[in-house]
Amino acid sequence: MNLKDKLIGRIGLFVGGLAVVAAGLAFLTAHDGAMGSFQMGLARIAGGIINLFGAHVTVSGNTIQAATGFSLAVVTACTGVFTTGVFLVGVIAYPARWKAKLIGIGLGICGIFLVNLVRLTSLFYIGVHFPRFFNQAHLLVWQSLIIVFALFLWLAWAGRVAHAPRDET
Amino acid sequence: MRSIYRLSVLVFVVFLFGTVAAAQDCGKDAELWFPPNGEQLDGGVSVQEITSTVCQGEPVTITTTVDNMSCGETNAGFDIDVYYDSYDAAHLIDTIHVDHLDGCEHVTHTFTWDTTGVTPGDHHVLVWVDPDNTVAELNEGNNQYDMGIVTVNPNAPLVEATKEYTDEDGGNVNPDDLIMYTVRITNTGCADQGDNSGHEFVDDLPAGVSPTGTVTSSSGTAAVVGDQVVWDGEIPAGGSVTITFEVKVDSDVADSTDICNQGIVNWDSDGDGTNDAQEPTDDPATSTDDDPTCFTVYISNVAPLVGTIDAPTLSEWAQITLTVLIALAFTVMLLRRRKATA
Repeated sequence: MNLKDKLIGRIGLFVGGLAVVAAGLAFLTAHDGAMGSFQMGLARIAGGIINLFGAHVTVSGNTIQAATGFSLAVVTACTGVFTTGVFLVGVIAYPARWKAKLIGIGLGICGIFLVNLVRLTSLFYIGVHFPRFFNQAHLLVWQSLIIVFALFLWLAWAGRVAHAPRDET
Repeated sequence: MRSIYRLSVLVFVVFLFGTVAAAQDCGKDAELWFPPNGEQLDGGVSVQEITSTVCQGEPVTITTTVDNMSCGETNAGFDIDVYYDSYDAAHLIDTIHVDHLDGCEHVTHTFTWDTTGVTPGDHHVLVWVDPDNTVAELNEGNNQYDMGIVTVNPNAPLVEATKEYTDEDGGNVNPDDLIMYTVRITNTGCADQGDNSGHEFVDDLPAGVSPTGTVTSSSGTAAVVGDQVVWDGEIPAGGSVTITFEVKVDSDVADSTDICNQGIVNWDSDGDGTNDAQEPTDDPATSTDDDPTCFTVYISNVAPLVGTIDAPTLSEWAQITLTVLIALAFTVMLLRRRKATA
């Protein structure tokens, strides 16, 4: 197989992976209970962090509730599953050693999870205290930050980990 | 030819016997019931009618239709009883006797209920066909029917009042906003509410608002006295009066302060010329009866977020953007790698 064929094969693998991620997201969105435990866990962690900063919120199922009447529901689409999926497709389809791919998978899952956690807690705080900025924070700021973060994390992995020379020892 | 003739005679005889048999008693018991309004009988009749509102002592007209839905005729005469509130002798309005009812026929009767001595208020009108169970029926379980409610109003005033607010510049209520209250007092009783001693309406304004002095009424006299809005006047039976007054929200009201209050109508419940009863105003915007009229003052024009919101990580367009960017990065990195390998 020549280099051109390999290139086409990799791109094909990447596109196929994206199709799987899109189908998976459509399935999970239609069956919101499929990720119920993960959503509830994410809500509990976010609620715990918010309470650490002096707030008094309650978590019921996948919903974080404030005494003001505002509550944030962590549905499937709030979990960062699509972002993580696209990132992992990029890692798996890219030519690299398995060790490098495992590092990329770990980086992607943990990094996007943590950033999403910060996103949820900050959006909750904004929703309670600065409601007029909620939509801007949600739609403009955090979506852009998530895209930029995922892109740079992948580029950093591809440039520094996947392209790293083999360890000769 | 002869056999065709014989066959024709046989068919004719069979048809004749069948017709005679059908015309005779179908062999079934009768089936009496009250067809509810909206349910069409064969003749399009489904009359169950009552007068909905009267003054105490006025007659209520009750028209009821009993239908025999079976083809079997009644085997005996039967009564139609009309009651109010309860199927017992103490609540019996009237009885009519019906001698006979053929199958698939109905009978309509009109009763008159004299409401003298009936306690004012809402009363159910109930009808019962064949209460003595003299008629053998296919179904004995559908002989009673609730015809609806008659409201008997007292021969005295009966007062209800509502109070609403309007922020004159719209949107959320802010400090220094002008609020227009509209109070509507209705006399649904059967006697006029007189302009008796004392104010017929008093509204103590709550903390956080001050009267501007603007006050009007569709009849009688309304005025602002200190922090009170008062009204004096008559309300004829079946009539109403509308009072409007303006207040200004104080400048120093704290954010998210609820400002609530109720006006009180003083009225004459027994028609003796003295106001002996009180009726608080009701906020018609809520389902609770006789509750205060409230609004919340916000410092900013943005009300707090209330309710459950979900915040997807990426919208559909953001997902497309991410996918395109990762795909571009993927391709660029692959090409760079290919170049380096070559």
